[in-house]
Amino acid sequence: MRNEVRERRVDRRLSQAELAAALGVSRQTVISIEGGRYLPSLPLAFKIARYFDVTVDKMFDPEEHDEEETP
Amino acid sequence: MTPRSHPRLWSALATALLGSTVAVAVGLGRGLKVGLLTEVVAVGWALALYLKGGDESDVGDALGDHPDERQRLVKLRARALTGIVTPLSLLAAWVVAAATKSTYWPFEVLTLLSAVVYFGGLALYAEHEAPARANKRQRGRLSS
Repeated sequence: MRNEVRERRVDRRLSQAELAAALGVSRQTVISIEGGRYLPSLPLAFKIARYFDVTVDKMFDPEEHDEEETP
Repeated sequence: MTPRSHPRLWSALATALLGSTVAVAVGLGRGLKVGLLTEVVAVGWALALYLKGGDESDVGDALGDHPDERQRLVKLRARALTGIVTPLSLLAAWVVAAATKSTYWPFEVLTLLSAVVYFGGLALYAEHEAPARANKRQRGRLSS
């Protein structure tokens, strides 16, 4: 699932460690979320969205389908 | 200082205690020298676990005091992997011991225990619906 965590973190000039501390998770978890390798739980997804003052569906989007695959 | 507030410490202590239990049994069965060696290994292992739990890494945090949600999932997956490999290893040991006419009942017991625990876990953690008859009665009451 695509997410905007990295972009928004960089916009605020935050390090991964700083974001992790603000969210109460480990730095490795922030890395995994940004890399799309971990889908946060609903409470954590809401926490992330609230931290960046956006809605959850704005922060996390289902992966866009490749246009070449659609008929 | 409770297990809940310091799981890393209590986990290391439990490991040391279990290891010491094994060391005593080994000492009684195989002699003092081997028993002491087992004790040294057990205490060393417990200490290594405690120290590793202080690392800033997934492994460290999973062994440490406050894993986050993803690290708890990492732990769960590691336990699930253990739950697959261990009974298969026991089954293999059972087969080898039986084929070589060695004592095989411990492997047999532990393999069967693994199977019982697995199905018990499925029953424990599964979602259980209310019985159909109770549902029908409920629907009858709601419609009257």
